[in-house]
Amino acid sequence: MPSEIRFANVASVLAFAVMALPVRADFRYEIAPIFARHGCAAADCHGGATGRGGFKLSLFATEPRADFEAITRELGARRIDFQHAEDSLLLKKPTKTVKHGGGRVFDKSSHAFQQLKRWIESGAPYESDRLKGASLNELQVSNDKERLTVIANFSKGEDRDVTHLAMFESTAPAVADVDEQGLVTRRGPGKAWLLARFSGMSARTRLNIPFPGKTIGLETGEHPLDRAWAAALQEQNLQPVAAAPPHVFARRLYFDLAGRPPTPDELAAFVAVAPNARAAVTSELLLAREAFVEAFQPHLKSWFVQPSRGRDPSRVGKALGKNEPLSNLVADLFQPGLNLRGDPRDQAEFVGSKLLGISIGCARCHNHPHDRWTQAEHLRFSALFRTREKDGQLALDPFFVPGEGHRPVQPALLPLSNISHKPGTSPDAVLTSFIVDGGHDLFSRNIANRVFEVLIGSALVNAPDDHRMSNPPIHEAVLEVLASHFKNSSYDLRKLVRFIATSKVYALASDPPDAESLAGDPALKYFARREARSLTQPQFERAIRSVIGHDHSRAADRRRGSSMMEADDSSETTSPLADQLAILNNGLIQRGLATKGNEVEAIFIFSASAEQALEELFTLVLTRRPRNEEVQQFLPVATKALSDSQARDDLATALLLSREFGSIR
Amino acid sequence: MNSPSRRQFIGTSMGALSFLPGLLHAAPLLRGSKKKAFILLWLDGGMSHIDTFDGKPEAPPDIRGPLGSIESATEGVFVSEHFPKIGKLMDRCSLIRSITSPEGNHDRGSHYMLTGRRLTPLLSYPSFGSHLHLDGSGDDRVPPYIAIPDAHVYARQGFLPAMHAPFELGSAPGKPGYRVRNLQPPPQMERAMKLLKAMDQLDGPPRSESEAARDAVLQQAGSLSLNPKLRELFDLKKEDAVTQKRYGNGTIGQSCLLARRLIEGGVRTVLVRDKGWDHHTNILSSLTTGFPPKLPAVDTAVSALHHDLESRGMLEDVVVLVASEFGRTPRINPSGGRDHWSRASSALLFGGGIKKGAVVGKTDARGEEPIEQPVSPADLFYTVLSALGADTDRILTTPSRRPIRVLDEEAVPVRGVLTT
Repeated sequence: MPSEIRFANVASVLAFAVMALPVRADFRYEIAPIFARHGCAAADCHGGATGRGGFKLSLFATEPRADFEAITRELGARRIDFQHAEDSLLLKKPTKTVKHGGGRVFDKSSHAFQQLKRWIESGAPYESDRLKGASLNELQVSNDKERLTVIANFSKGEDRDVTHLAMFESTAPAVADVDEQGLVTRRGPGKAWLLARFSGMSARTRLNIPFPGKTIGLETGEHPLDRAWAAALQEQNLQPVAAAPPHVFARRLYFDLAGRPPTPDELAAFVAVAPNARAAVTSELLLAREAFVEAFQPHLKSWFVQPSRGRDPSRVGKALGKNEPLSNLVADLFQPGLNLRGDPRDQAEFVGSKLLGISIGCARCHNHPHDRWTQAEHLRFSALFRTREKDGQLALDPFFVPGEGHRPVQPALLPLSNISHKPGTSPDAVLTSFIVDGGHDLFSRNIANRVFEVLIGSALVNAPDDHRMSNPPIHEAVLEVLASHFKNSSYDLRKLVRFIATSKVYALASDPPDAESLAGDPALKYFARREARSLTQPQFERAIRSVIGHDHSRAADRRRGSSMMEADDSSETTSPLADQLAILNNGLIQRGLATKGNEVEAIFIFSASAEQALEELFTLVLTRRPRNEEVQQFLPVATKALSDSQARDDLATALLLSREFGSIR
Repeated sequence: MNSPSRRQFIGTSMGALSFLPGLLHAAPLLRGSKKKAFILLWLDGGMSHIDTFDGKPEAPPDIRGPLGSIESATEGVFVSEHFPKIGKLMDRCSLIRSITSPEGNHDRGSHYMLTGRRLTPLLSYPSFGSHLHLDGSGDDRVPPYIAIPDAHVYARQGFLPAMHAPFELGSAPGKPGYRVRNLQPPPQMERAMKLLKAMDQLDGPPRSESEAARDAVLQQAGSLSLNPKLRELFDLKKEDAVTQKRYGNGTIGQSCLLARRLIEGGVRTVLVRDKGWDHHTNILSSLTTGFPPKLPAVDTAVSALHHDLESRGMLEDVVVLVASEFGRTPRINPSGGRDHWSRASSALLFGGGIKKGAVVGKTDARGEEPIEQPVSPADLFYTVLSALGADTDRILTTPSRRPIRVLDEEAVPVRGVLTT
């Protein structure tokens, strides 16, 4: 490259001036990190798209070659004064000896100043003698008595302490914080990961501060998921709440696996089973039904169907109906012809975030400090989506590469590795096998995390599109158990669902210890308690139909030509307020209750007493009997309702609008 | 613990709805808040700049097109011959004629104009109205952001929680059968709501944030639909006949009237979306025929809105923006239409904090690109938020907890538009 020739020229000129001095600092690993650590290369400073004050560095100083060029070559090389190193702009600005918009960044006694000065005095080389040709292999961080030490391992086998050049961050500052020097302050119970970054690489170490109080003793049980979960809570000394009562559990299981609450008969059947077999027996029953396909289809579509890519979305439902391995759906994504539509980068990013759980998209614009994915990786992985097999070779279709001078890029897998291509294997097949089992477990971890989120209400890796070092799973061992179960069962979704639904984690109660702890309860974060979830609008409508009319599909309504369940304005709503207005006023409940022979009417016709009617109504709507205070409260209305259809409909409407009906607890 | 977006969600929902118990006996609705309100008239599809605000009477016929232009109250500024009323108002508005953007596709262009950010593959950003929702609503008794009849997908909350989404009416005033979707309660709702209250009280406090949020929004929905005074806000029959007529009979006019009424009732942002501005064929008849024709309808609606706000003493408390995703090709195409043109477009602004009679920027003789003071959609976004007194330094958090600024890094307020 021409720029390298220029460097050589500079070096030879400099060599004359500084011949006697040893080369003492390496720009890549000893100077550039200073700009990152002191914020000079941040987005709101010189790292911004246009730099600051005419001086531009790469964002977070991750492109040392360009930064070296900017410092040593631009501005007639006035940023550096070899005669009087201290007079270099590079040192006068950050010490605010001259005007500097960024203020004083460090003073003359600092390590940064001394290091920059030494580097200039030694001729401002790109590489030092010691690290010539070396590259960074690995980064390690360790915590010794609340002091972090960062060791960089270089390709020449050399280990160096780079603590003074690293940047630190805690994933949970409320648990443990870490300052610029790498000193750790414990703040409160919980788990935190402490991260160190150096020269585009990250490392982390975990810190667990147990909850105070008497040491708890948890039974581990037989279920592998429960064993991993109990061990995690035991380590944290965090006592989980008790299991949910049977009617709450039955309702939860039916909503999750069938998309509706259980009928009174189904509840009776559920309770008739021995307590420790209820989850297994019922999930077996529900997983075999068509309703499971309907309930899970929307989730799978959002993971496996890239919007606007002309794929037949019904394929997902068919695959689910036949219980095909989910890996088949991956293969489908790359059916011939589909790949040529749209921007290959969109496809690469969709595959990255939805199938692998990694947000490589950030690197479309810039390298990101929290991500290990670089622009080069993003580009070369994207190129794979424009590759065809031609004469037994992988050939790149013309591929426009922004900012790269239209030069074609070599397609590669993630992390960058060249493809060993067997003739006869299409790039689609290469991609499929890479995604499902490319020497990593990203696919299984991602799907396991998403299914866990669907069933439990929140994910082990929050922001499921974005697994990264600084976004670790809340319980690593739990995610590992789930991922390996999924993989070992050949990516069988039903088996994974049953695995989770039969665990103790799934069965936990959701009642908070007190009203104050809605948001801040650590039991929620660490899965020692379950969170009650409000129904979504479609879930709610389905539940209403099922309760009032025992009819679970709108299509069936249409087939019958019945106007009963045809919601007035059930076209999609787009805000929470519109959702609740629909619930109140779209007429779904009213028309249902006005239909002859609906379930509510039947209760009041066939009940011998108001007490019985009230009990049956509660069981129908809320899957439980009324409590004493509820009987007292509502018996007068129920009595009236035996002979007055208006009172009956008012009471049923109130129950259907209740917070309890509108929530999966 | 929980993600910030979620805390923000609950914080916003609970804070905004603390008023609810007294709502059924609400005081007369009058805009009492100090925060300025915003009306955006969004001409969806791409308004031809040459045929509206950037007339080129001296350009050759294939550029100036079949529609004439007239000089406005500001010397040298030519507007459509169908904008006589707006033309007269020009000395009381700010006109920007040098908006320029690289986004010539409807979705991406709209995203840039409505959010001040270019669309990225990972994120869509919050729009004007959602920012203002976050910034603080005008009046807690009504939805803070309303879209008539609906919102462009990029006029919504972007990556913010759904709480910040616009309330879309689902129906346009001025059309027969105008009726806000699901606003009218069924007869038994009032009785059922009483029983519901007893039911939920026996249930105790909500079990989770999502239950608490649902409670709050259900209650807001109940109040909105059960309180006749609040429902009347959406009812244009409550306006006198003269006012109704002044705005014009069509949906643009009646929607602008509704926007004024909603703002008066305490709504902070109203988006009026008028579709059908993508005039690839026969621009002459597309703009000047129909029921009512588009250009005269905009002329009538915008001038009535200005007049109405001024005569009610509201002009200083409201910012009005007329804009669309891009301009249209200066040269008339073989089908007599104009195609997408993002290198130049215009926007009209008036109201509180906006200079009167300012004309910013200029396009070349053929209306192809700015030759003076180019303005990016991000700059316009910055300017409008500033005029509204919104917090432009806020850092937002994406669902994956990445910090994002409200404004594009390179945005600057448009010089010469703001009074301060």
